[in-house]
Amino acid sequence: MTRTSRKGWSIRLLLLSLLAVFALVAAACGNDDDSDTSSDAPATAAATAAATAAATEQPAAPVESRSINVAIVGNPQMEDIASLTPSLFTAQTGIEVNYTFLEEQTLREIVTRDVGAGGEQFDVVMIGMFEAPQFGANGWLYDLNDFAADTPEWNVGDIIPAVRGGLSYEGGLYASPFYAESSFVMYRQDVIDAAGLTMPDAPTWDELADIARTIDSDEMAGICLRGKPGWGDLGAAFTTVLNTFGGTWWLANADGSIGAAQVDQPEFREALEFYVALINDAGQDDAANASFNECLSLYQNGQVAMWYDATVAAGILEADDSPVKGLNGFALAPTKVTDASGWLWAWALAIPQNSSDPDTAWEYVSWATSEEYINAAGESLAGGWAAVPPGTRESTYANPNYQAAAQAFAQKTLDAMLAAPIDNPGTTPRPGLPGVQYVGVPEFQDVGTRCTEQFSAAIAGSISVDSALSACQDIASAVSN
Amino acid sequence: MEVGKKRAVSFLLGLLSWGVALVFFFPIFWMVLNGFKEEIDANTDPKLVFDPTFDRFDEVTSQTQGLLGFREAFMNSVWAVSISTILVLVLAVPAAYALAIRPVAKWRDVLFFFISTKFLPVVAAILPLWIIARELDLLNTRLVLIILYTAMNLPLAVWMLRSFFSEVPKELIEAAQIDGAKLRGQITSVILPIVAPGLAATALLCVIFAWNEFFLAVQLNPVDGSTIPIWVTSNVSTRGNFLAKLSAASTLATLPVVLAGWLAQKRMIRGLSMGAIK
Repeated sequence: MTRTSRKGWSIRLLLLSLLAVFALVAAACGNDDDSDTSSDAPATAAATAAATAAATEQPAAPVESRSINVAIVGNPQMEDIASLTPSLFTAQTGIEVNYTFLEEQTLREIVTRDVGAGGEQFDVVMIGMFEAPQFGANGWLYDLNDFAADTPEWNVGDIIPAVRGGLSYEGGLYASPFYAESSFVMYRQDVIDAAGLTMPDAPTWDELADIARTIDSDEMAGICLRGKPGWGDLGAAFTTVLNTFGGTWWLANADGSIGAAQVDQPEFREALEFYVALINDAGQDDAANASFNECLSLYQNGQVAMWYDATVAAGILEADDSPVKGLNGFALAPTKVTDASGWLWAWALAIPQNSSDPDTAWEYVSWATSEEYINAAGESLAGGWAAVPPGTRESTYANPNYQAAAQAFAQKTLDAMLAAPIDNPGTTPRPGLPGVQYVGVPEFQDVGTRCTEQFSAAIAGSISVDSALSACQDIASAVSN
Repeated sequence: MEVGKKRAVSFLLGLLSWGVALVFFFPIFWMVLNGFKEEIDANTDPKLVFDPTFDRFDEVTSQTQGLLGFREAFMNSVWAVSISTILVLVLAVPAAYALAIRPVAKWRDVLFFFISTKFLPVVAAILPLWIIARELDLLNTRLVLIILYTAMNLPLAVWMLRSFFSEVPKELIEAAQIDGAKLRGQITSVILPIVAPGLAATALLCVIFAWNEFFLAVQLNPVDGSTIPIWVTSNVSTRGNFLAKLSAASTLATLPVVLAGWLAQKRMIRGLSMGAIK
């Protein structure tokens, strides 16, 4: 009797558990549908169909219900466009834009997989200059020239040529630049003046190193340079130095593939020794952990006198709330044996081949990267004209409003953008696609990051430059053909 | 002398544990403090005295159409975490019962099998998971996280609950049987009061793991159904200071877990003092 009742109980308990599971899952799904916006394809399709039907029945309603998903990197300029989209774009076109804000590295992983493996999650993705030509060559993206013919107001001729070139592959333009930057030297004019020195408009690294060592003091380091591992952190700053010292990561084979690793060559050694010695002699504290944001804080806080980094920093240093506003001078990226050495980077909007609605996506891209948006942003943003996305269009630099607001750095930024040696960054041909502060091959991400871990350790003093170089030569050789 | 020595040792041990607690607590304290600073103050020399402001909290909780807001992420997290935790308990309690109180055949193998599902690092399984989710139209839904968080926490919950269940004295269950208690009576009046603190501790762990889970959430749900950890990282910027903003966001993200821990702690203490054996 006990046995039967036990068995009965077990079955009842099991049934109850199962029921609870189903109820909970159903509740979750039900709620999910309520809050779902655009990912649920059938629901969206039904909604679109309903809206279209409604629009046909009532010709007075001008707004169609369309929506797109946009993956975007978390930067101040991108936050601005997200906040302006409802009033400036959705209100005019009826297209709802769902933004996915991601941190740079996560964005790379997710977008690469989504675009490459057919995730169909995004209609527009923000990619960098490193990815755009590679993804274009893989056939993952739409060639925007095909759309541009019908959209004269987007004005492709206005885009700064070096930026356009960096986002192209074999004549196809695979992403439209939203924001672009080069690198240059920012320095405290008052500190340089007080030391009785002058900064040349286009300094050499030797001149800059002399100035840094002269003005370096206990309270204020001479210069802030990136030391944090990562191909886009230390890798970017160091590779511009490497280029202008006549070094390179790899030789290029005749077919453009990766040739022999060049890390063991004297130019590479000279560049790294110079970089490490400059940081040791006149650099910031804890340099092995510093990248853009850390140097920005140190500079704003008066703890460094010079800083070699992205041109976009100038806008932050000269912003109204900046403690160093009006104290800064700007000079082109320092050189050694080449004529120019500033890097070139852009965050740009691209339309994946698996986008569910490329025409709507283009409507958004052509608005977000237009002169029209830049003008509207200049009028509407709290930060004013100085906060508009820089570096993409010549018209921005010709605009009197922008010139007035960004007087201190606009011309120097444009000079840096125009000087960036995208097609010929060093003294030897590079493998892969064009690139200044990186090598345009997919392997560079891994090699650059692992090697800069070694270089960063050399900056921190935990290993010698020799062992960093020999470890890096092995890492780089592993991908040579 | 002996007493004095003992006192000194216990004083030193007390001091040590306070020291360790402080070391653990300090980063949290600093995070909360940074959340109330201006960006420039948070990024310059460490300051203990400053003008506190709620602006960063306003900034991170402000809603922009089309952007993942705090409220949406919070609700997604609450759903994914609470339902997966309930599911885990519903499934783990019978499993633990079958493994501890009335052990099934080869219960050791079963127990080992449960934990072996945790051997594979999740990053190695992410691509297959992503493809399956894509094929089943589960990407960017709360359901996919509920399923995965349940699966992720279940082995751990079974192991934890099994050890709590095996502490229930067999004599108590037999005594209840002699008194005529059926299975339900045994569970409700004997077993549950004893394992209640264990249940609370297990539930708390499941809540913490699911609440803090970032990798699966960001890989599978970047567009919709995004949870709190994704919202927190959306406050990171590569070009500009964000420490104060990020601290404010992290503080908000930590609060529910602290609250859950506090509630579970009360439950655990009550459970300990309520059991059949004291």
